[in-house]
Amino acid sequence: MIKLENITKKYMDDSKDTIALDGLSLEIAEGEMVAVLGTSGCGKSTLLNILGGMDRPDSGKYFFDNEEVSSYRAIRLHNFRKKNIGFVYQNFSLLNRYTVYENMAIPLLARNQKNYRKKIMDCLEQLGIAEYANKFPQKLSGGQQQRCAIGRALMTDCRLMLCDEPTGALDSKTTIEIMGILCEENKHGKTIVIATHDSDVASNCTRLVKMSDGRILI
Amino acid sequence: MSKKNIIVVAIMDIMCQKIHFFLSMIIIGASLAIIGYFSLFSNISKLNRDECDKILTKGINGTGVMQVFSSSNSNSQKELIQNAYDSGIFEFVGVWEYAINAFPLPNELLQTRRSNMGYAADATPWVYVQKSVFGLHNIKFSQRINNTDENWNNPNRFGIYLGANYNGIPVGTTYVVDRYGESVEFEVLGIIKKGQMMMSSDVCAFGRADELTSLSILDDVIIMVYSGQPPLWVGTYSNGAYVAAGGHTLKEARDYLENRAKELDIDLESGYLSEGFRAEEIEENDLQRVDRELSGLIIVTCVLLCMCIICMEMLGNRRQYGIYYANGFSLKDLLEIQICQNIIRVLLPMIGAWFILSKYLEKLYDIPIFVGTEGSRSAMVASKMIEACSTYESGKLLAFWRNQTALPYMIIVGIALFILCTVIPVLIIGGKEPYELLKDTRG
Ligand SMILES: Nc1ncnc2c1ncn2[C@@H]1O[C@H](COP(=O)(O)OP(=O)(O)OP(=O)(O)O)[C@@H](O)[C@H]1O
Ligand SMILES: [Mg+2]
Repeated sequence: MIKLENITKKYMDDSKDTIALDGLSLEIAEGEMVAVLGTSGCGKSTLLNILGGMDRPDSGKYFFDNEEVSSYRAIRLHNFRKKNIGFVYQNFSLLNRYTVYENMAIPLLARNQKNYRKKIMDCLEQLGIAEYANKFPQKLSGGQQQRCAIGRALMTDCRLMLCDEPTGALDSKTTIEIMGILCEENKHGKTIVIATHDSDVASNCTRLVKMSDGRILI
Repeated sequence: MSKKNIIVVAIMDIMCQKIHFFLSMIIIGASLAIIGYFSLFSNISKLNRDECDKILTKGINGTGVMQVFSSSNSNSQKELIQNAYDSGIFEFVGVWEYAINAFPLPNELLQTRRSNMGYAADATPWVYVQKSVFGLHNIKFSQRINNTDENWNNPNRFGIYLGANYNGIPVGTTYVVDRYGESVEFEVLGIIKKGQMMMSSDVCAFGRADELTSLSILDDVIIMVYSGQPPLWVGTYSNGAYVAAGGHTLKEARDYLENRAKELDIDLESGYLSEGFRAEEIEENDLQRVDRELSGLIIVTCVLLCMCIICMEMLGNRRQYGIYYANGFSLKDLLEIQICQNIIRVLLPMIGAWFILSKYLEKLYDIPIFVGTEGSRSAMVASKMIEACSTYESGKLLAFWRNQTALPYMIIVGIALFILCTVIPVLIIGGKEPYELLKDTRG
């Protein structure tokens, strides 16, 4: 499904240039659950952003379903993102001003879906946080917040779910719960890429990719 | 993303920060009111002069009000005015004199008048004007006979136009009155429509600016017209207002008058009404400059205030926009949400500000202090002019402000603000790489 060829990404700073991705090549098949493991600053987030169409590589090609995403212009890129990608972030990235329910509704509004109440409630039920639907994220525990963030990513009906340190802020018990949810989703056919530096998390995945200094090690 | 969802999200956004949003609306509304007020204020003296000139002359081309001062003896002055009439360059405008005892009143008219106004009403019903004044003021009649000039060769025959309160009297009625043994005929030529106004000489008399009576309602008035020789008392006052008409410019009229005055050895001062205002204005230039600059400063400050508030609001929402973006909103969607919110944030307070401002101006307008200080004569005249003009056609000038100047002005200011305040923050947000935006969502 995904093919990256020689991707490089540089960040220009006024002091020095940082090479975040350095000629990275990678293939991911549909239905895989890939853990991207590496030290802090090795370029995991950058990779995920390029995969998700949030950012563009400086050089190299990115194919998704044999279409070259890296050549897309803004609107097509946006449509690609909207159709295929769901994001989950380390710090949950929930909108604190909105309730859990409203947070879940955001991707559905963006996709012009109607009568989504049942869909949201079913998902919350499945994630075990239905009782918090009308609560604000600050009132929830970290694990509950992350479930909500995952739920929001699931609302997009994406094919590729990108999780940037989804368990970074959680204890080991909650981490196992969250990984359980992600594995469950993977079993239902979703392709998942998880950036992490926790090898326990990585061991839950079907495939392991190690990164160092913007390159793939294995 | 559908427009409906854009609005849903925009309103959702507003609803979860109601107090915040409401406060920004109040600040913007207040700023807009201040901007509106000061921009009107800085334009007001211009409005006075130009608009009043236009209204007083009804915008007829080649007309204008001119005043003449003369300190010479009344006989040569009378001759000058006589010549001015005969020249055909001048038309007599609005300088009307009460002629209470000059002519005997037809009894029937006197009685009608008494029953109209009550016995206490002592104000004179008689007004003597030269008939061309009607051309200038476009006074409207509810009934009227067209008279040919042949009817006017008889010096003992006068035409009269009756105010609206005499409307029981049919047009064409002729009254015969005995005057020094001769019979004088008065024929009712027309009934004036209700609420019509005519300018009196005082509006042009700079020297008596503080006693201006300017316009009068003609409802109870009997206007006598006579196009033959001017009556005896025509030369007994020295301030006159004239207009040039019939293809002559004001300048031609003035040149004629000045040349003729020289020939007659009359010490004459003349000037256009608007010229007088301008001269006064120059005296007040310093004051006005300060006013203008202060207004400008206040306006700019308020515009900046509005912009900053909106920018701050939008920059404060960056994390939110990053999350929207990551969840499938396009930059265009984000822009549309901005626009939608700013419509509420700017245009709604704008309407409120306009409403309050117009009410305020109306109030202010009753005490016309906004055109200048007490001691300023041109301000007094101008304010009286406005008064006169506005009563002339039921608040015409006020309506002008309200409907034709203030509202579009406020709309333009509002739209400009709205564009500035939407475009700049969106440039700040949209100009960033999406990746940067995302970073905000994490931080
Ligand atoms: N906007 C940016 N400007 C400049 N340099 C950046 C920017 N974003 C990331 N970098 C640099 O690029 C490199 C890779 O960053 P990235 O965020 O991908 O690391 P990471 O592997 O996700 O690290 P972590 O595990 O700590 O999240 C780092 O050296 C970082 O300093
Ligand atoms: Mg990272």
